[in-house]
Amino acid sequence: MVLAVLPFAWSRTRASAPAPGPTSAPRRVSSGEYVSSDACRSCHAAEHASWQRTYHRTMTQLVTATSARGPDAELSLDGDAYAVHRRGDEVWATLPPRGGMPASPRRLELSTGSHHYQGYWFAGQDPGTLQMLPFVYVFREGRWLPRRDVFLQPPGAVPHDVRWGSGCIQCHATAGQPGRDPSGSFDTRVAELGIACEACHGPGGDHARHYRDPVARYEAYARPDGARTSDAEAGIVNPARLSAERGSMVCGQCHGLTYPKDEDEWWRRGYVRSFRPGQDLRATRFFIQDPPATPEASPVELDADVWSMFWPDGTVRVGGREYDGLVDSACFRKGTGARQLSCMSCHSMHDSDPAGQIARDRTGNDACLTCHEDKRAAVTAHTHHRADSRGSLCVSCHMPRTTYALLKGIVSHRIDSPKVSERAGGWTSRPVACNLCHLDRTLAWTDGFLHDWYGQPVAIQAGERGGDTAAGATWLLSGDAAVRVIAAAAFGSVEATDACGTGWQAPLLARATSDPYAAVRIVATRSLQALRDRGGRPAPDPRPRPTLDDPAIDALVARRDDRAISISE
Amino acid sequence: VTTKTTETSASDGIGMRHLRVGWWALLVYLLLGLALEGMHGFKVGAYLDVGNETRRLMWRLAHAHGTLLALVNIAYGLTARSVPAAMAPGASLASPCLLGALALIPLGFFGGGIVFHGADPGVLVLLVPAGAVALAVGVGAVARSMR
Repeated sequence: MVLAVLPFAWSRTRASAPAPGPTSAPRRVSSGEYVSSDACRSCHAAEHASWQRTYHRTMTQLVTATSARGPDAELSLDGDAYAVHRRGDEVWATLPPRGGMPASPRRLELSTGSHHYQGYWFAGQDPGTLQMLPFVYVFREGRWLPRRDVFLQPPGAVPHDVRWGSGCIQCHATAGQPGRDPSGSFDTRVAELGIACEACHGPGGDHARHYRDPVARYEAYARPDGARTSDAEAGIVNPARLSAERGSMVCGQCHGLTYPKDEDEWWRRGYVRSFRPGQDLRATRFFIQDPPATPEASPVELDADVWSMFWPDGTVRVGGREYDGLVDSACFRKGTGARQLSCMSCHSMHDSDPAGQIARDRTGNDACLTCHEDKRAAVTAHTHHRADSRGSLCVSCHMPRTTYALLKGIVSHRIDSPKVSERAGGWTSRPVACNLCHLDRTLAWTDGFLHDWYGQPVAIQAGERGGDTAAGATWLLSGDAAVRVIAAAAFGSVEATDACGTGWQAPLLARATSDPYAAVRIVATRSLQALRDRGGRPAPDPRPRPTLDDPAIDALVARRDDRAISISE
Repeated sequence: VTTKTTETSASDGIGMRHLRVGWWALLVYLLLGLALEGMHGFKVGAYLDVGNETRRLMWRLAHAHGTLLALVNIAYGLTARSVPAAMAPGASLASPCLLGALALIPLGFFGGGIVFHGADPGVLVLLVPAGAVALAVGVGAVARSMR
């Protein structure tokens, strides 16, 4: 009787469940070399738990009703209707009709992004491919926005036709292998979705097998810290124990602008066979940094957009590529031994706040003062700002927010000193740190202080361009799109409010909310809101600001640098 | 009569020793349990943080085994006083083994949780298998004497 009923019950259950969609999600291959974070947890519970809290872990996830942060919604883009809706534990999107095909529901399989916004992927037409939904869910606003709007790209530009297996896989998964075959289909594999233990420490299979033996473990405990005696032990890398150069390369495998030297190999197996943490990244990749004078001089042919990612002085200006900035910094180039700057000089994966991952003992000025000890007792003498003000934080001046990604300005990891002389050449130059707080002051004003305080040569002569206009206003309205978006973010920063009060920015930001670039508009709107939330704050400097009436604003807009800029991060 | 009296006083003496040790040990390990609860109450990181899971496990095991072995020793003390066969020559190992187990097993667990390496307890945990062997021998000796 029971046996007779069971198939019926099974068929009823099956019939009531939503039909499973086709899956193109990468296959998780967790055997042999790569054993996944599950295997690490049994011995390294604390490290596993601290990693669990990071945004690295959730950078790519299988979509479920709970892992997808975007709520059900009816959406519209260019007259086409889209819908996102949950079916049980799955999330589906209804896409508009295309090529004579009716509107079709597609299951969202993967999500990318964990901190600021989340993008979603569904099965593409070619087997194994994943295509991106043209909307992302932005956490700060709690809104679905068109994907093309959250990237900095010219109005009307068609977003790149991205596929998860051909781009995102490189950094948003552990040991990703695109598995592309010549027909265009993909057999994508990963050791783990998200950035997990083995992305930074190397494949753990040999290590785990070796240390299943308790004698091997206790023998290792008895040795001096870090001593290795076998290949199995050496196979696991602790980036903090590597040299500054090699340790930083572990981060640089994702936080650097690179291009594979062997493209065919990359399309098949990614870097799984060719790179291990601890090895020289340059053996397998070209670094796209300090771009040559012309794109033609690059070792590889690159999309023109790539050159949007650098300031005219060669500094990288796209966020998420901090390695490029680091290796251009004197602290890295001139440092040696323990006094050479590395990513781990400031950051920690396991002992930090997940936002920014600044090591708990390296917050404030502590990271810099480990080498620049002489500044500790004489902060104000060096900064000429109150010791307890943001102007006395090393990063405010030496790592200004001049890189852009994720709808915000991000600190530049090219550590240097503010100099007007190198930036006065035009409004497409990298903004000077001083004026990213003192937005209402001119470059000439800054020039004077840098001359008086630090003996820098005077760069701007009286009456010269830039000498009579508030730098922030000029950047916001006359710069190229990258300068404009960075300025728009700076207007909303706490540092700028501290430095120049409130009550004068609204007309400028209001004009920026009609910028041709959607990302500039979004960031300007955020800054307007932030200033409203802060209420009235007097400017600490009572000296009058340069005039910013409507004709002055119109003149700044008329000078806008309209060159096409694309920063798709 | 003299021999029987001597045997009786010997078993009384051994029984009393186990009762004394057992009750004191029970007090110690119950107090340890109280301390562990206190650490929960005050959320002591050295005991509760996820990185100290091994310590938490080891100290809980020390508390549990210490309490249980204290009761075993009390039970043996009562047995020795009420069942003279438990003191037969073949069961002479029972007393030192049960006392040894009471000392070695909880101490091994507790010591293994003081200094530890990730998921592995410290080397003092090696006292535990030694204590386990002693316990097995002691319990076996008592069981055999009851035939």
